[in-house]
This record gives sequence, C-alpha cells and structure tokens, in this order.
Amino acid sequence: MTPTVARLAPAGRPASLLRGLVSAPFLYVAAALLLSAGVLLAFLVAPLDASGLGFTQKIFYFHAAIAETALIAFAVALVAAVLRLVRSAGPPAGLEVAAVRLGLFFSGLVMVTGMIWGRAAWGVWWAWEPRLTTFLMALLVYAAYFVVRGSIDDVQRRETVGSVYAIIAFVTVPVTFFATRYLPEGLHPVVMTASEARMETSMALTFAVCTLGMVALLAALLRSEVALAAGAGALDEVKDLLEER
Amino acid sequence: MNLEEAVWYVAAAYAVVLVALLLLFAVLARRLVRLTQRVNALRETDQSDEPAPGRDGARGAVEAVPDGDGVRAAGEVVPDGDGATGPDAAAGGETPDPGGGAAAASAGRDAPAGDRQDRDHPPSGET
Repeated sequence: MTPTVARLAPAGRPASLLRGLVSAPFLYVAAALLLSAGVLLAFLVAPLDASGLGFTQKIFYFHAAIAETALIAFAVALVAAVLRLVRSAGPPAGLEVAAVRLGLFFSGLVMVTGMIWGRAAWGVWWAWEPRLTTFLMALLVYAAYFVVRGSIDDVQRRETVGSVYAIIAFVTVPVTFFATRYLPEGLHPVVMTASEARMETSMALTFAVCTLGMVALLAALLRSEVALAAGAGALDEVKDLLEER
Repeated sequence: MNLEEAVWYVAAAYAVVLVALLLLFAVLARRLVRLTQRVNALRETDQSDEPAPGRDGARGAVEAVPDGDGVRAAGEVVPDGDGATGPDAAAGGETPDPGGGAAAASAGRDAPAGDRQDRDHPPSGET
C-alpha cells in the first residue's frame, strides 16, 4: 500500500519544487560574482570623488544599487498583485508577499547605509529632506502591508486585500524616485538623470555592476522565497487531507 | 573629514550590508530546515498509520517467512525444531528444502531420487 504522502504529493510536485530551488543557484553565483567585482571596481578602479565627498563616496555604489533594487522589488510586487487580481492563473501565490518582504529588507538596508553616509557627508544621521522622508514613508507604507494581511483571517480575502494594498502602496515608489528631481532643495544629490550620468565612466560602470549584482540577488531570493512558499503550501494541503482521512 | 574617519564610515556601511545579507540567508536556511522537518514529521506520521508488514498478507521481496506450506525461498535453510534440517523431511512428510539442505547433504540423504531408488529398491528382475 502506497503511503498517503506519496499518493497525495506525487513526483511532479517535489520535482517542480526542486527545479525552483536548483535554478536559483545560477542567480546566486551571478550575484556573488557581480557584487565581488563591484567591490573590487569600487576600491581599485573607480577614482576618489572630487566633489568633496572623498572616500565616503564609496558607499554610494552599494547604497544606490540597493535603493534601486528595493524599488524594483516593489515594482515586482505591483505586477504580481495586478496579475493576481486580473488573471485567474496569475503568478505564484508567494511572489507578491516575497517581493514586498524583500523590498522592505532592501529599504531597511538603504536607510541604514544612507544614515551612515549622511553622518559622514552631512554631519547628521538623519535629515527631514525630501528623498529621505519619502523613502521612509514608502518603507512604513509597505510595512503596513503585513499588518493588513495579518488582520484578515479568511485566506481568499486576505490575498485579495493584500494585492489591492500592494497596488495602492506602489504610489509611494514614484513619489520617492522623483522627490529629489522635483524638490531639488534637499541635501540628497541627483547623480543619475534621464539624459546623463553625472560621474566618470569608471564610476558609472562600477555602479552598473553593483546594481546588476543586487538585482540578480533579488531574483535569486525571490525564486527561493517562492519555492519555499510553494513547498509550505503543498505541505499544508497534504496535512489537511491527512487530517480529513 | 580625514581619510581614517572616512574609512571607518565606509567599512561600517559595507559591514552592515554584509551582515544583513548573512542574516537574510540564515533566515532562509532556517525556513528550509523547518520545512524539511515538517515534511519528515508528516511522512513519519503517515507511515505509522500504515498497517504493519505481514498483517495484510503482503511481504517484502527479500522477506522469507516459514509458513508451513513447504514453499521457501531458494537457498533458505529453515530450522524444523529438531536442530537438523532435511533428515526428517521424508519421514514427517514435510517437503524437503529444494535448494538448500547443507546439513542433509552432509548426512548423505539428499542424494538424487534415482540413486536412492537404486540402493533401496533394486530394479525388478535384479533379485
């Protein structure tokens, strides 16, 4: 007699779970190589900043790359939420939650590295200037996403409300992104614009490598998170069926 | 700001990133371990619910159980209670072990039927 777990979770499901986990290593390796190259480029190739920031400008390469990655993660959550609401066979269930969670993680990292850099460059840990304030707003709004989800017991309703919230919360992302550009009186510099990169080529290359590395890391983490969520979901289903037996 | 102070700030920022990433990987690994533990616990629970082997008549491929029907796996030597195997098979009517019978062979009783017939019952006309 075949054990129930083997009958209810046939070979296809663990295999797809395994595929999800084993395809992530490529992204992890790519991220590790790119981020290592980014560190080497930042300290060995990119010149010292001549605008007065000096050596502390080295923080920029990771700080800005992490900021871009956080915004990309929130954009992924937006797309996943829209697809989930519009299409019945949308993206994997855990993608939206994973994207918000990782977006929050990278946002927190941006805040901490930004505070260190702010202390070095401006002499203060925090300043209520447009970029910092709007980024803090985005972080708090997305943190509330989990509060909202946690307050709803019904699974279907929780998923729907969560998706709607993720769409609404994305409003904070363009506000953050354009805050510095349209409110230039702040302390935060605008380094990259649509028309030009206000830095040397080697600096731009270093920043690009670091950003690519962080995005690859985000993709790898998203894959792992979705695979883990799928595994936990499948396990809950099997457990429920066993309890009904 | 002098260079030494700047180096400390930069090192602190990079260290924060590194530690945060390590913590994130640790959390992911912990979730993976917990998921594996849940799978194993569920599998053990499921298997403990299954009937014990043999109760439903099914036996494993390598399992050989003396069941009195005289059919045994090849090469299997089954004790028959008197410490010897084979000798009492003919006397007690028990089917002798077809492939085994090392003890019986040593006693010279496991010879081919034709040989025994030649010794005990000579062919007719040989009086």
